[in-house]
Amino acid sequence: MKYILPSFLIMVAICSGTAFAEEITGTIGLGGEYLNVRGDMAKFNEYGDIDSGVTGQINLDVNLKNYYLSLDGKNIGWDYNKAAGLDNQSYTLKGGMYEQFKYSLFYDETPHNITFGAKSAYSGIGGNNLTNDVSNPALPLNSFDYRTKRTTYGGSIEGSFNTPFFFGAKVDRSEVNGILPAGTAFGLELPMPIKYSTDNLYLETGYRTRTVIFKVDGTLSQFENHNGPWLSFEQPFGGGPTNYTLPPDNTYYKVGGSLMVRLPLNSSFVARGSFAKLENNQNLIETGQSFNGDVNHTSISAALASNPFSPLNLRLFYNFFERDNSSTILTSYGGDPTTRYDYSKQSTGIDIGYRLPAKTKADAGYEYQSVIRTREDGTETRDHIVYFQLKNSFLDWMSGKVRYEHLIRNSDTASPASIADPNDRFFIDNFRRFDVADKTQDKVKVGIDFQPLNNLDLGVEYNFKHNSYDNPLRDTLFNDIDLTPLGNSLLGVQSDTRHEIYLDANYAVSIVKLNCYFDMELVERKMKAHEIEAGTFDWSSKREDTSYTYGFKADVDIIKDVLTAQAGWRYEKAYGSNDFSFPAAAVLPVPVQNIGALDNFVRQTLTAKFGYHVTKQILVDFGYTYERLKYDDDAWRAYQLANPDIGVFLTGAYANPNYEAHLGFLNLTYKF
Amino acid sequence: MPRILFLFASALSFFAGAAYASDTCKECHDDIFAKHVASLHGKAGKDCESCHGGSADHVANPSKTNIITFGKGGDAKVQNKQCLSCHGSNQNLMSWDTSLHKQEDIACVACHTVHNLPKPFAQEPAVCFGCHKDIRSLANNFSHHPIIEGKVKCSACHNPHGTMTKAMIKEESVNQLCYKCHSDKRGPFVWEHPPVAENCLTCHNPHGAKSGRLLNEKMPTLCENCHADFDHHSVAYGSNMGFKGGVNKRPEFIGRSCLNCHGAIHGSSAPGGGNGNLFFR
Repeated sequence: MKYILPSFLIMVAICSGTAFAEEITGTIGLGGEYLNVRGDMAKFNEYGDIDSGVTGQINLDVNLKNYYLSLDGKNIGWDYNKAAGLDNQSYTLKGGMYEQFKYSLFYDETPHNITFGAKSAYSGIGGNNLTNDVSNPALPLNSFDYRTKRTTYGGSIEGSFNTPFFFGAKVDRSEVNGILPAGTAFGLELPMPIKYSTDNLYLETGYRTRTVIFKVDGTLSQFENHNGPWLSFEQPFGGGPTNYTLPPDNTYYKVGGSLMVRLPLNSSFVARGSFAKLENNQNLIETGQSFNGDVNHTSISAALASNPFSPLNLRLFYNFFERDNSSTILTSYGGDPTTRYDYSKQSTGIDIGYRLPAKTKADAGYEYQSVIRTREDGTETRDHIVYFQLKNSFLDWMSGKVRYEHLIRNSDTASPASIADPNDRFFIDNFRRFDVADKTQDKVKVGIDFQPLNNLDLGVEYNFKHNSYDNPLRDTLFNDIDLTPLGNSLLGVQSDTRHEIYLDANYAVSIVKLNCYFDMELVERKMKAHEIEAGTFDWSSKREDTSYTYGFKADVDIIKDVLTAQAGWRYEKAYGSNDFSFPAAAVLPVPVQNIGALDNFVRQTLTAKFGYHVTKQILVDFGYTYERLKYDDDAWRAYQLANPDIGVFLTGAYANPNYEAHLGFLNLTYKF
Repeated sequence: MPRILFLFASALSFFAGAAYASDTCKECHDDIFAKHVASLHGKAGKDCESCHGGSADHVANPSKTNIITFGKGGDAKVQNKQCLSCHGSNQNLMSWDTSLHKQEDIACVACHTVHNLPKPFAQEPAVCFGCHKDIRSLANNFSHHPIIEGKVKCSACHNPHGTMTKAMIKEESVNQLCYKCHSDKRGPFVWEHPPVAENCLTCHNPHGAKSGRLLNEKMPTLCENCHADFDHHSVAYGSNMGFKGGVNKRPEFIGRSCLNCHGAIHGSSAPGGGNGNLFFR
């Protein structure tokens, strides 16, 4: 398939070209690359396939009076080191008749490289039966790569034949192959085989005019795991074989309908409803039981937008979404009863916009959202959100925007008295999971764009977000519980704060275009936890993450339409820390040192490129890219594969992503 | 017969008018005219007046004020009305009137370059990053979806012309959207992890993150945000518990941290009894 489809596309292009030579435009490119990487090739090439070898691309447009056809081919090439085609090729063929119909065929490969040269004493890597006791130090280590490649191909057609009726169909298949890491008890890292395919069919049809659009659509998606549902593996220290569950096969169906009606008073009404069903059947080999998965999703949405008189805009909306899990409940599966998770969400709100004098627009809105869940710690959350926004563009050379948003979330839990398990009872009494906890949130956004000179654009943006989980309402909800030992401060995330700054400048003068930028993000999160492992006490921590990036790009037309140059420099730095605090009376088995390196990294990228138009049709461009990544983290320093002292056997996944890369390239592009 | 003659005369005057308009426009705007002829709109037979409206006043008195102009400084409502006169019945734009971009007065030409590019398709992700600078920053982060590599487009997940959902995503819920590509995560599983089943965004930022695997923060703190009540998941894991920690070394801290053991965190079908129900296997 990999070779058939591109060949077919190129043949179509050539045939089309022969038939309608005078209507063809496009480019064909051929080039070469030389790459030298010291360090982790996988991280450098995380989603790409840059290597020493030959590359090419093609772009073709055929335009007749009523008919068009275009072909795009990217990353066509040969990897010299692998002696294989590139892993990120993509081809698209599109065609159609204006206002009648259109179609497309597509083929795309996307690699995801994680770690090359991972090591494991397991035998049978890549399959679903891993043998050998990895705790035996005498066993040789096998080398393999953690990587996947996704290949997607298919086609689509849509048309209306210049009538109000339309139809569309899309069919595609996505295949993912490779190996990914999977951790299992107790700290055993398994090379998990990946061989998935998903077949999708999408159909839609409807009726459309300027005032009414109606459509119905349907989706069928079938996922298949070709390795079966289980990975068998040998446990260390003579534990014998056992199983790891692989993603199960499933089938997903969805039907939906949408309606849009344009009404008087510059108003529009839009509504949509959908129903989806996800199901599978699993034979649970260890117990001989069977499980029928059955999850339904229902949604209903409606919105009304109106502009009844010039300065006023209104929007009303309502959304309902429900996840209903009707899968098998097993009263005992490995000794535990299974449960099902359901939730339903409703939101409704209003947005009002009003145009004021001096090119100013004021917006305000309110939204109410309620989520009801089958979770003891968050049976229901209710959000109230209000916002205000002002935009102004009175001055030709400046425009600005200010926005403030405030959220209040109240939540309910199951009645603590109804919970028998003391651990669960403690949990409900004292702990709040941040996703369902009471909270207040404030968000501020300020953005200003300047154009002080005709050829100079400046942009400044500042965003602030603060979540506080200190809502005292919670204490009153459980006034039957004595919270005094905890100082009336509930456990869990206490607050998080985020600051973001973005600066941009663009300057164009004569033959030079310059762009420089600076991005900065600061995040702080405070939490409190209850430790009972070595002693009973509460500890708190403050995590801080800082990231900033700056860089510049320059484009110079050294000789107009003949010789151009581009240069760019980018510097990214991120660092983090986590500081702990313990009560004076806490008895720690060992002192806990603060984390000083938390996902720290520095990445620097330098690019330089020249383009020379030999003739109007022939362009030669060549250049050089340098990139260096240095990563550091307390949890990854001095990485070891075998840690028999704590029973952990790793394989090297994600370890040591550092690299330094030099890339030189030369391309020849012919335009016709 | 008179009716037929009238229609014929009307059609003739319409086409003659169009030709007049384009030829007249060309006299002053020859560079733009040349680009228009080569563009998709030009090839589809649209002339200058199709978008810029009547030009008689403008020809008599060339000024930006007596013709519909596009771009910065113009009224987005007026500009968009011209675009929607042809594209308003497109089913992919059926939520435009109720969309966030419409509410924010975003002009079609803010994203679609009509004259300067042969095809007026929005240049993703650059055009999106022009306004969404926070997303630009995330998409370049240490861990990211292959957006800047050109393998995932913004429009793969979002419909910038509007949908019925927050952030204008193309499915009814975040998870339904993510499962379109990550169909292996769909389940249904015997053991579900509720925040996973409800919203992938509880743990992941799809645009990018400082931490690996698009995680909102690094483990174990990511997991301890919810699991800090008792047992080994409420322990304060310090830097002295890493690979070099000797007797203090903890499997919950080193390397992939919680995932060293709880690899089936998206769901499991292994038996309970401290296995599948704890996402060990």
